[in-house]
Amino acid sequence: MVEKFEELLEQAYLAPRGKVKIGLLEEAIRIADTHLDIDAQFDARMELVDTAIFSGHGEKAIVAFAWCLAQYDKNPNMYNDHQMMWNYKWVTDRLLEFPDIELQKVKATLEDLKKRFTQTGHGPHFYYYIKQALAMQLEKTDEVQHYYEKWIREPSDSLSDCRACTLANQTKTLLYLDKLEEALAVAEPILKRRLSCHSVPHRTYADLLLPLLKANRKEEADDYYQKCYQLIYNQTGFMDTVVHLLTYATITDIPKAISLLEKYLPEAIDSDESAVRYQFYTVATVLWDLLDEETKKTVKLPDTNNMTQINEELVRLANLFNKQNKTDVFTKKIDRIQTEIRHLHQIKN
Amino acid sequence: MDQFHFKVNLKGMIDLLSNHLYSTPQVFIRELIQNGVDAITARQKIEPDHKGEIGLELFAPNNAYPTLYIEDNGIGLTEEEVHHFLAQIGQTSKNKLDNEDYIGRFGVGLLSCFIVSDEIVLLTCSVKEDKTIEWRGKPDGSYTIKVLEQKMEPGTRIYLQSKQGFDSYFKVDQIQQMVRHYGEFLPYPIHFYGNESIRLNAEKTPWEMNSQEALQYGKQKMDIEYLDAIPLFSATGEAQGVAYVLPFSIRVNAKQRHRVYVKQMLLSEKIEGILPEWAFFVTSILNVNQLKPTASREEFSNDARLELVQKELGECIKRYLVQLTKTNPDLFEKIIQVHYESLKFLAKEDDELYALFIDWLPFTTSLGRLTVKEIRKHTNNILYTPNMDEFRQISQVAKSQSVCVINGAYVHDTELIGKLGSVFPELTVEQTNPSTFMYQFTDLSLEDRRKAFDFVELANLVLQPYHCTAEMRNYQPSDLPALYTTNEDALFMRTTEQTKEETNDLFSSIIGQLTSNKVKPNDAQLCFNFQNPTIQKVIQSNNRERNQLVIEILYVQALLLGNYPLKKQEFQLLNKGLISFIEQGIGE
Repeated sequence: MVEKFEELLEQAYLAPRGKVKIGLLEEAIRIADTHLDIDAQFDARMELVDTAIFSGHGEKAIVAFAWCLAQYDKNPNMYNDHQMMWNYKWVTDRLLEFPDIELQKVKATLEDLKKRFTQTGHGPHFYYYIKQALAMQLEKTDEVQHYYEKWIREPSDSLSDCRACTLANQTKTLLYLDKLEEALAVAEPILKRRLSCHSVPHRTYADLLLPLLKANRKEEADDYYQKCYQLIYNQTGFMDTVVHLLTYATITDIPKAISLLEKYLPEAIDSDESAVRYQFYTVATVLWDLLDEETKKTVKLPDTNNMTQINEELVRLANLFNKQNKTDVFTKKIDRIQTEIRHLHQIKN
Repeated sequence: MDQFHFKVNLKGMIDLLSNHLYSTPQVFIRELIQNGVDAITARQKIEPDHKGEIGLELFAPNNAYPTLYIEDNGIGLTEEEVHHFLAQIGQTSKNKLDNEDYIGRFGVGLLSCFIVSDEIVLLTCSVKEDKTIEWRGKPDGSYTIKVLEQKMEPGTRIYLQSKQGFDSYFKVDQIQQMVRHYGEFLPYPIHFYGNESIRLNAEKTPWEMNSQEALQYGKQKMDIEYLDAIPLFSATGEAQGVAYVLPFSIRVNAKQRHRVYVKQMLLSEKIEGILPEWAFFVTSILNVNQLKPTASREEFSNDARLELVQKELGECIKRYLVQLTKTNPDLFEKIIQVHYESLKFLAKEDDELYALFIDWLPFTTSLGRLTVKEIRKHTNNILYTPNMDEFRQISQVAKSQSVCVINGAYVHDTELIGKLGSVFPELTVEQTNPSTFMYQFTDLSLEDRRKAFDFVELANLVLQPYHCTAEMRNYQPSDLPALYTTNEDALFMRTTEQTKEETNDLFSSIIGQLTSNKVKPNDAQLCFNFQNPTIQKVIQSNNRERNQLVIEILYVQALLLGNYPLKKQEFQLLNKGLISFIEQGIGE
């Protein structure tokens, strides 16, 4: 069984991030659980955490990591602190993709993360980042401002994101705060391609589309749209970015938007990350409303779902998120985004 | 606006060079030979019939540090050129306009000598003027120039005395080895003068050899019996070479390193990325004239031209393999056996190659490892599962029913199987999964159904807490009493429950919410086998309590057979069941 296990890990190692790789690792975990020792079980799960995080399967990462964390807590000396904290950071980051988890639990996790970072000799740079990201999701602008400032003042350390990601994240927040010029200045090294990583400049291009369009800088936005799409084409785990592209195309270029919808709707439906479904459906349904009946007939939708069902699911998710986060922003957000898209679509066409 | 110049600290530059730009001090040998080669090439521009030569010698007196001597009969330098070029860092006598004729681009070559020496002495005589010039340079940037009385043949001679701590680089075998290393395939003879003069470079380069010679060379040089040697050529890069097919399999994403020469001077033995990514099953020796090395000269600038060269070289390998399927199918089969992963990747990306290769490629199936050709012999109805878990669930049963199911869980396999119909229109390709596969099991007759009814009802009741439903069918092998099948969602549920038992409260509740907010997944299934003698006995029994135990044990057994890790409550079932049976066995 050791050979089988190793062969699976090897095969997984060869596979690009995505479903195939996850499947191989899950099989390796089952074999390790039934036949092999804790080390094998642990290692295979850590591989899965890494893979799942970057393939749009946060739920699998969270479950696998939870198991590893329990082993680590039983035997902290057996495992590498930094590796654990590094992955904890990603898992926490993914947790924001699940607004259907009670806010109080998400917050408790952030506090646990902060405590563990301190215990292992790391600073709160990432903690402040994730606090402002959470505040952004819940649209608590004062809190965003507060933690943003703490975050950029705090020195980065070995648990911080890479430089490219840090600047991309800053750009995103500045755009949320409506500071386009400042955002562009921060993003300069990214846009000039001096800094890049796994997800940058892809997501920065995506974040900039709507703000640039609104600032009457459509040419730049068109250029970034094209570049962004090239970068994420045929990659998994970029649904957040796809949503931005879909939004932009819905406003500026309906045929493009339809292609995106056809290509990515199955992946959105298939996603266990509820925020992905929520965001995608918000735009997909407004796009659908903008189409005339004749065009609708030509759009290829998955056999199992029609747009009415998708709309119902969207409403269900928004209400669930509201309840779990004791807020009403998730229903309001749909309304605001859809109104804005309709409005901009009208102006631009 | 006033313009100023930085004052460059030469010593600092040399430190920088020695510590960063060049990874090993030995490169000074390469730089010296290169200067010689360039000088000869320049002279041949004027005198096409000139026979260029380079010579080296080592003087190692007992009471002083050893001195390396190197001479060439190239174009030489005029007095003015010496002032102009040797005095300024980064300048080079190589005419910028036709600089593709030369190996070096940076003109900093000679400076690398200061890494190992405190003084460079250079004697030179240009074909353009009848003057012998002596130049002496020091690492602090100071130098002297003298016109010597003595006459010399056009060319350049350099004397380099080792500085303290670097004499290990000034040994005969070291020097010879380094010259051979860098200059093995240089176009002009290089001799080492000692007791007898020996030629250090080869007379024939691998890219001039035929396949047999190239294989011979590969064996001698790398001590590997390569499977084959594929000639490489790229017009864009003016590249020529040989790709050796490795005799052992290579991890798919292991980057292959290549031995690359630029204008026949070794650039590096570990160049990556000159061949396409999929070509990791070959290692190559290449000479490239039209690619730009980076300043460290240990890799190529990553530009559009590199991409094109990569593509052209890849084409060579593709065409060769295509040829091979016709001219030497046995060898091709051997290559496939070793490198099928690489070739699968190729076939996936390229429809033409797909059509040529697909029959030879092996897949894991319920009947063992088979090539597509063998699978086609067996059936026209191709069944496959896209994931490992489903394959495992099905394969045992499929095998005993002689049904060939392909495991598509490995990288590229599903895509490759999906395209089968494009080459073999007679084939139907169908994805299967445990539940659809089980539909192929025969249903019970009405009479059998009545016999099994109570048992199935009881089983459904017993298995409810485990999110599992029960049914009864006829299937082979008859010694298998029950088969556990599941689906992705149900399996994820199992995993989460198993994890919740292990992890801390916070994560346990987070995982709980992760799954509870989802639409309820389908249950797993336990399919009992009506053909199985044990099942036959059990359904005839009216002992409800014992039947419950049997169901529980068969459930756990089916899980174990399917390699599913047990949850706590399932372990308890197993314990409880075993103890009860033991007790019944010993008659308590």
